[in-house]
Amino acid sequence: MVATLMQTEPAEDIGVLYAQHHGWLRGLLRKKLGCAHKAEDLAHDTFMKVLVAHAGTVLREPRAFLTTIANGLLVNHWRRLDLERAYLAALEVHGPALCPSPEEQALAVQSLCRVDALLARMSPKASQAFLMAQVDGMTYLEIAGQLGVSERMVKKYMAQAMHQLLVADV
Amino acid sequence: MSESRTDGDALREAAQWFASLNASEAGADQQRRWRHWLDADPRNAQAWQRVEAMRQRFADLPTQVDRRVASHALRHARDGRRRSLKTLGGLGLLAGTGGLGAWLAQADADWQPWAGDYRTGTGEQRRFTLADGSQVWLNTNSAISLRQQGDRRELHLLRGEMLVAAAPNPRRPGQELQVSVAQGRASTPGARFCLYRAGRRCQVAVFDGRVDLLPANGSPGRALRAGQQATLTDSGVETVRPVQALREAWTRGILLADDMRLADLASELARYVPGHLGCASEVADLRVVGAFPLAQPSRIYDALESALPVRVSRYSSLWTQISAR
Repeated sequence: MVATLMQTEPAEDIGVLYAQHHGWLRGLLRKKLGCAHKAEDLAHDTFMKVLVAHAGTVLREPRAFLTTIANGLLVNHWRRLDLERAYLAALEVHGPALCPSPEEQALAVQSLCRVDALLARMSPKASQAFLMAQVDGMTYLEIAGQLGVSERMVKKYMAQAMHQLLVADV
Repeated sequence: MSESRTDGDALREAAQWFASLNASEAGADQQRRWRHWLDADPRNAQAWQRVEAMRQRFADLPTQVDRRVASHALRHARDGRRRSLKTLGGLGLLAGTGGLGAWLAQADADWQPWAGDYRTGTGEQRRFTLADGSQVWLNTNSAISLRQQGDRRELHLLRGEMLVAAAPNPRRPGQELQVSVAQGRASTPGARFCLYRAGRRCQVAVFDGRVDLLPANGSPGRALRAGQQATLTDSGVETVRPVQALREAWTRGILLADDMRLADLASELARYVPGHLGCASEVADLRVVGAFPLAQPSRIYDALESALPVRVSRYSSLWTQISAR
């Protein structure tokens, strides 16, 4: 493996990193995403993340490092697509009466992504109960009926859910 | 107010109160008892503020999306979680972030104000919050002690590795947090930095802010800024160089190998596993790259076996050897 020497100034670091690896990363991403435009976006975001979060770090194997960061962004990307698709399906189901503009749709998906990320911190049963309580506005009795558990269990799930949300917030 | 209550207890209780008050039958009596709990300890009020803030993050959703639409979307998006085929291939790279959250969530430690020693066993990691809001992560096989010395917050790293996110004190901006080791000390009004003691050398890596190093032997001190790392020895401050991401990645449950010698990786991993983990000399110089999950050493061994010409022999639960295949 070839060791890549870097200067110590962060701005120069990122310039060299970009020049040497941007094309390669974009190529890899294009294969995975099937879209040159999206690949360019994600490649750009990857370098931005390196610049913001890891400035000054000398990388002796930059490609592995870039790959790790890009993977995180890829996972978010796929998740966002899942949510977008589900959102559009939900709009169809709940009637054409709601006619959100493209801007409203974009904001809606963004909101959903944020909430989804929070729900991901919880165990599956707790996240179901929490979703029903906080988004659907169901009572514990109703949730208990849906999940086939006691009201007492629902209360436990709620406490668990909130606790898991809080401890993951560093 | 009980002295043995911890910060973690306040959070747990706050979560319980959230669940109780959210129930439809919660009445005036519950409210009264909740207020009594709030007043009983300032940590309770702080924990409750965090509950409120978290609740707010969900309350914003209906302003952006119709409730039924949101509910439907969140439920039905739950299915596409397995994405390993759609991420970039590589050695030991993690395909998702869910597992790490769980690893961190268990690092909830007992907290006693400015007293006592804190220890972790092999493979154990702990995270806790100090009275001033600073956060401390303690890595495997480590021990620290804390005390308040007049105006100064002092930690002493007895053994192992710690990372501290020192919060500046808004009421006393100049007040410093100090971490000491036998070879000297590191102080800062606010920074995020790691200390790793190995033998008579202590590496100090700064990720954010600025840290002043003062050697115990009286030789000149040195300021480290974000992105720098240095070693404190009996002779003073040595080897200032760029920071190793490895020295922070562990707080996220990752062993980050950035073109590392296999023997060095084995030494690093050995800190986290009980018993012996050795590496034969004929494979010692193989290079490793990747982000490995510290909570699952067997996945690391599998990844090494699939990427390198090595065999990881597990002779017993306490004896593992990496050798040539």
